[in-house]
Amino acid sequence: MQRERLTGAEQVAPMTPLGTVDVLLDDAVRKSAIELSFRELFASWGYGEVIPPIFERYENLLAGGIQPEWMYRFTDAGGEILALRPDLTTQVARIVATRLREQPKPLRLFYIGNVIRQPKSSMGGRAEFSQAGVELVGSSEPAADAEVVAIAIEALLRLDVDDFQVHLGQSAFFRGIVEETPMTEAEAIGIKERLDRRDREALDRYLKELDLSDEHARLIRACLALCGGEEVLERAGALVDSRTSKDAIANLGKVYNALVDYGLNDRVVIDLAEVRGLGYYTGMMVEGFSRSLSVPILEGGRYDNLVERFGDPCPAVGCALDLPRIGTILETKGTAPSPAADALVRYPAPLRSQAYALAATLRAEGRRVESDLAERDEEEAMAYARRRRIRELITVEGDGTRIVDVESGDPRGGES
Amino acid sequence: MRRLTVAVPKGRLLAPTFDLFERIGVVVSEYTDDSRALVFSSDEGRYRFLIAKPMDVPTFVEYGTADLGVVGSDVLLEGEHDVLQPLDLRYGACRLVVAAPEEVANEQLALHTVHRVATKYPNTAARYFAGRGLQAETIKLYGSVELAPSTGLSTLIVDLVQTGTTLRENGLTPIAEIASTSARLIVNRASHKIHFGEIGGVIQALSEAVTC
Repeated sequence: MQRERLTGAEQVAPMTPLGTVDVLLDDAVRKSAIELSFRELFASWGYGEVIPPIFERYENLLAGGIQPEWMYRFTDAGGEILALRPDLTTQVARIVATRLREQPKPLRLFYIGNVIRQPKSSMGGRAEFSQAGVELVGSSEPAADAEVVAIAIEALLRLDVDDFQVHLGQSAFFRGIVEETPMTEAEAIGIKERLDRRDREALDRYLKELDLSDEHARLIRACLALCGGEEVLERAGALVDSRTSKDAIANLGKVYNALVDYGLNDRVVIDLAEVRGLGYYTGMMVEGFSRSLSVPILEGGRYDNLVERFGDPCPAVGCALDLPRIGTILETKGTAPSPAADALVRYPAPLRSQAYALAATLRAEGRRVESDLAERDEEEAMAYARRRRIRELITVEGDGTRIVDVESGDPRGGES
Repeated sequence: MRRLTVAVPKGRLLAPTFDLFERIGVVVSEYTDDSRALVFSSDEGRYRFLIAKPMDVPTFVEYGTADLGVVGSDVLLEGEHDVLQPLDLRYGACRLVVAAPEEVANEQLALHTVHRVATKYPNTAARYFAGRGLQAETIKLYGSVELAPSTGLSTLIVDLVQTGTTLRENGLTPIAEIASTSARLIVNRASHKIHFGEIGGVIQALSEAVTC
């Protein structure tokens, strides 16, 4: 049957918005497999799923401390400003403070969903990507921090991702240093920016400008080297006098010890040089890196003030895994499941009902079966099956079925 | 252990960059001045060098294709790339300046209604003028920026100046300095964490080689 072609004027330019992707076939299979694996794991730790809406009142998302410039904003018919969510944790905080407020704590929740952000090169130029995260709400125990980190590590190990490490920081460590040092908020931000770029010389110049005491300058400079194993905690402890900083170190030590008890501390690096992180972090911060991919694959931290923004003072900690990046690692490792069908069933028109019944039986046995739509001859069907990497061609005939192995072209014996 | 990849800029910074790495014991004999290849391994095999356009070096590093990079700080000012900048390598020193034809140079900038500025650095130029409350229209050029004022394309230019000879020969004179620039070492954020000891060692060695 010939379809009339559209004229040029009726066609549209097939462009997609900057930073968006269509996840297709192999990638979609891999994504679903990862989601399934995470869902099973989170459930096995007693976490329950929440599915918040893809957009939210802009004001709510701002309360989370997420950078406004990350968000796509729009208005509804009544003029209310809305935004696509750049993050799910803020939404979980809203849910916890409202509908789940009366639930016994600690609450264990997980989500799998897309976040949407204005594309920036530091986020890999992506406007939309999926995250899977756990949130442990209502406990300020270091064991809670360790639990979400342990789940994130287990989530990667379960997928046979093994060349990764997680870096633990503590946002209160640097806050303590700032509190103890005579400087303005703007100066603290100036120092933070230079520490963040690991720009030792610019930091030195800036510290001289600020006219800080040698002792304070030395302390701030020493922060750059605070990355490594457990011994970093001891080194850091010897540097600071601040109560806040000392508490931060002690807290991170307890989180680390719990991870020792999980048997996962070989994955952990202590990184007190890390001074950034999402705006709402108040304590431990975690980032995960794979050796085969030079971008973070998981991110999380403690956010003890966020739930309170929605009316319920309640400590919480969470961690989110970056699905597409983990998908990329699996793809490079070649552990992708094959999306191709196991068999193609072809038939002459009068035998269609037998063919459909056969396909249904095979599908019920768990095999992936395509049934032919038109009456293709065997040669054509074989060529198609070969291109699609389908293993068997099954032809329904008057007296039964004939099975051909697509790769070798040899007949296969036995019932299938 | 995985090899470290270093993105290095084509052009005037390339030779001093290979010289610097040679001083810390990383020799790339594969590379000669007339090589057309863009990827080279160091002799002992520990490093891989990618030769890229200067403006592209931070991109290779930001996306993690390269762990380390060497690039002029003019490029970093222009691009706002999310990379670590742990070390000033000191060589390739230049000044990023606003320059004008001599007859304009003595006038007061602030009294011009609109400045048309031709430059390879439109973001930096726009930031500079906006920061002073001046209204400027930037015109992006890819080279021979000095041509712009004499041909009437612009009244001013923002460009990188090493000795000032090219400016003088085109009847231009610097009227303000935006930044003094030099080669910088840049590092991918994640690589810095994953290979903390190793990259820390490289930074330390380069730092000693630069200061001595």
